Amino acid sequence: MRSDDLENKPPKWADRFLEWYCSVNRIDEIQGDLYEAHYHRSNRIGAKKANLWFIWDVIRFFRPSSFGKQRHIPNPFDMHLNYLKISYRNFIKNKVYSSINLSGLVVGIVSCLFISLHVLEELSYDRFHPYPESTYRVVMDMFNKEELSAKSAPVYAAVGPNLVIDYPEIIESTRILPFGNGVYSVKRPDGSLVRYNEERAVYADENFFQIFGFPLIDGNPVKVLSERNQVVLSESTAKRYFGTENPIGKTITYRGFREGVVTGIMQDFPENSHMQFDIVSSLKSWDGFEEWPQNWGWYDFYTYIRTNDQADINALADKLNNYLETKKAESYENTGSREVLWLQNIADIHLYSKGLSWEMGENGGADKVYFLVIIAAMILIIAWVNFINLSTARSVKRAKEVGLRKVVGARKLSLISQFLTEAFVYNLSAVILSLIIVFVSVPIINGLIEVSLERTMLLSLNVIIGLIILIFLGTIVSGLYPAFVLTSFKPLNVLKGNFYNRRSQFGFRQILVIFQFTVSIILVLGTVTVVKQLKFMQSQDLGLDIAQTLVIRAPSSSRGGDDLINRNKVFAAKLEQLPEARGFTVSSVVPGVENFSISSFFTRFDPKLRRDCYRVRIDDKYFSEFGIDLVTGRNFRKELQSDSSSVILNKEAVKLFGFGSPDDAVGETLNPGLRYQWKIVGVVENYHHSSLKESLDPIIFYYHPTSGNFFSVKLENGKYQQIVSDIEEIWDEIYPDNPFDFFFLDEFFNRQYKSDQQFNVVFRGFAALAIIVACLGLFGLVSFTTEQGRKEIGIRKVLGASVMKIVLLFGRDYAVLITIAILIAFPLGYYLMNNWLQDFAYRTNIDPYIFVIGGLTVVVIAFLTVSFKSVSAARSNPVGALREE
Amino acid sequence: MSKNLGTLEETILLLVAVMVDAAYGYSVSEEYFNHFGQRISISAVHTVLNRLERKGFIRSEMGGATNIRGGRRKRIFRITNLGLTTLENIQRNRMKLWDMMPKLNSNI
Repeated sequence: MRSDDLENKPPKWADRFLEWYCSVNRIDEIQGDLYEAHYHRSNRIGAKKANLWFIWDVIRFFRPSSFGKQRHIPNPFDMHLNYLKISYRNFIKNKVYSSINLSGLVVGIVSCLFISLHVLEELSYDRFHPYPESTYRVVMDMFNKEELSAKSAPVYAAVGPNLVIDYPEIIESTRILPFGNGVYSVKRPDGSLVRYNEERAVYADENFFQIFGFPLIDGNPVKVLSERNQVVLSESTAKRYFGTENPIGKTITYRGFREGVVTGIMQDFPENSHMQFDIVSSLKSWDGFEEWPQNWGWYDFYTYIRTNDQADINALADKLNNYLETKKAESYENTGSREVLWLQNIADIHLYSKGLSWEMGENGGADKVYFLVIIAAMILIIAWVNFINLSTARSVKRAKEVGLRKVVGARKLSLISQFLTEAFVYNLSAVILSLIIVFVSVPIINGLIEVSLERTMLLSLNVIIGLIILIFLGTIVSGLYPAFVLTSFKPLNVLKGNFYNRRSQFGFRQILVIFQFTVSIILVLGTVTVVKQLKFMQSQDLGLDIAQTLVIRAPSSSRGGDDLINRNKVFAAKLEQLPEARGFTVSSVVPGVENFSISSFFTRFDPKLRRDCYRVRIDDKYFSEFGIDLVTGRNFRKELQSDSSSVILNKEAVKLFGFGSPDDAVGETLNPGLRYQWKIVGVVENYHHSSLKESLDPIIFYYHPTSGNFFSVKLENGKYQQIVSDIEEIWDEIYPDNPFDFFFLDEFFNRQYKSDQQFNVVFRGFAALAIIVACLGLFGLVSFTTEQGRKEIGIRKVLGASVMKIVLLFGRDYAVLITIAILIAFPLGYYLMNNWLQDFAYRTNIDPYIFVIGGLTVVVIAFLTVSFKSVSAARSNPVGALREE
Repeated sequence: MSKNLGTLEETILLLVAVMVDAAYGYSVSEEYFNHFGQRISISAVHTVLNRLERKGFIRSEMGGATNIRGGRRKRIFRITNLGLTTLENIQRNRMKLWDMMPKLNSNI
């Protein structure tokens, strides 16, 4: 209508001008009168003159009484109450879609919350120290002939003290020597001996408790480590030894003969510390402590420095690069090696220490943290996508509401705000629900995958701010697109009811579905790969036999002199009489235990070239008990006195020293001309000393049958319980002053994969969640389109279509989408998995069958989802769908 | 506000009273021309009508739309009782004056 229907139209610009300035309350009478006048005038005096009159009239009406664009603006509070009410009614009306929407969001937010808890905990590591900004650990890269041979967490004994002297910006340094492990014992007043094998005992410089934020419950932080033989115990350790007694001033005996005085009690170290010690003794207790500032050869000292506030860390780091060059010039000259010091902020150690050898505990998880964050974000995005998809699909139903609202005068902005309100309500309730769920399930999850998430963190400021941002972001992301789609409908079309089309063009919604399934497929591919790699590592031939092996930590508490050696001989003899024990061997380390023992060696071919090689002390039965094959030469022999200066190499060591073949190595001497020189008598096969993440180590075996850190007992099949108690009986008889502390080697070795297994569980969990959320969305979408297409189905059935045909018809759209998702996911997944596998020295291959599994899983689940709904729609009686009209 | 009527106001009020159910901006201005032979702009009519409505002599409601009006509705004006009595008062007073008019030579 409007002026378009008139024969002679008044000038458009004047008309628009009128519409622009005229208030809605007056436009009808004014514009109507002017049109009417224009109509009659054009008949009477011609269109041209009528136009002039029209313009003149428009100008005359341009006066305050015509203005005042005061429309009726609805009370915003009332309006929003109405929006809330409508949201609620819609929720109730479409329970299925609404709960799909909501549960998807909840799953997404729950995943995010769990991962944020984990990430927050990871990020909280070592923030509690008094000077977190200016405390650094000094670590070093070691180069051999310009080739990086190791990144070492500990450095030389001399580094700490000398740095403080040479650089004024370094205020103090403290060193930690991780060699306090062994048996500690306390004589109780009642005469009994309390004894434990301590695994987390170290020596530290006297300012340890000043640099680090480990509070003392008892004792003066300046004095507790300032003298020889002082010992600080953690609270729970002190309880173990002294019960309720006050331990201060009491004596604790290390390895049976070294006596220390307890000078302090420290709080148990917090979970989020990269150091975890139970016992800290004074470093001064070591003989030769005074000479250490000149010791540039022994690098087992974790060294921490604290800088003053003015220090320029970058400049300091530059200076440190060349520091060892100036101190060890001569040695470098001789050996062709080189070492470079660098700094790690104490708060970075936990996350960013990847690749450092001889590290304390499991550090360097930054990649995993990023990875988890990405997965959580993906799940959340999938949930949001669901919301977008379902909301726009449901727009068909809502369109009438929108049309009506428009007709009664809703403006676009108020409609958008209505749908944003709705999205906001969903997001808010999802967040609240998720908080409750996470709060309740944290203990369950903690028990399930052996993590220690802290649920009080949920109420920390970071999380709350994050959640508020999440709510608003979610509202915008998930609400904006549906809001625009819904408000863009033309009310007339909507109210006439002719705008829905099942096979709409390839639109935004389709892209979203593709995205969801791409992510799901990649997650399934990843899961399969992770599982495969774990299986691969655990089933891989280690090169030695660790099954049915009981390992006992060797006694370290002695009565002095040759006491332990003699007692060990008795123990070995007694074990041999046990029918269940097949064999027995003594060694300095066993597979799965980190080997701190390294020395440098040279050969006669190049005396200047020193190479670092791991050392393992063994007896003559080590190779046979562990099933390690001799390649050439001979094993150690008990009866040969000379074997105390013989060594056996593994093949990796043969390669390291540059011998042409194992046979060439036998008969050669290592370190010829030195006081201690070693004759190579044999070569053995390589075996994996540590997990398959690491490559094979070069090892030199020494013959040292009388002492070792581990007794390995090979057991006959059968009742392990009985065997263990038998052995314990013998043990207690011979070593009453040493605790019987054992483990089964295969379990112990596989514990190295614990974090990978956790990762696997977490990964599988999240992959499942992602797929569930994606399928929820798909289910909602399919049930909606089938419902919309009920009449179409009815007509097709009446005309003779079979159920199968109809299901296929509806499934075809989704099949296309999933195929596209597969095409995107496969190459991307391959790339990502390949990347992940690079971390492992020994990795499984990425088989085609992984893709088959990954693709099939998702296709089958998607197919079930689609057919579940469309089959029931296709089977329904067409009368039901067709008669309502 | 003064309840007095100006001359134009009175004339238009009369027109509204005469044009029962057909008085709106344009029709009043046309009727004015038909009776007095003088054009009066629509905007002027609107002003007067609004003023009369504010003074309570007429009331209005939205009426039907026509095609010529581009689908816009008319504002139909009706005279109120107040308007009617005011008109009658004016007329009566005038008549009194006319009656008092001395009979002059009808040739004049």
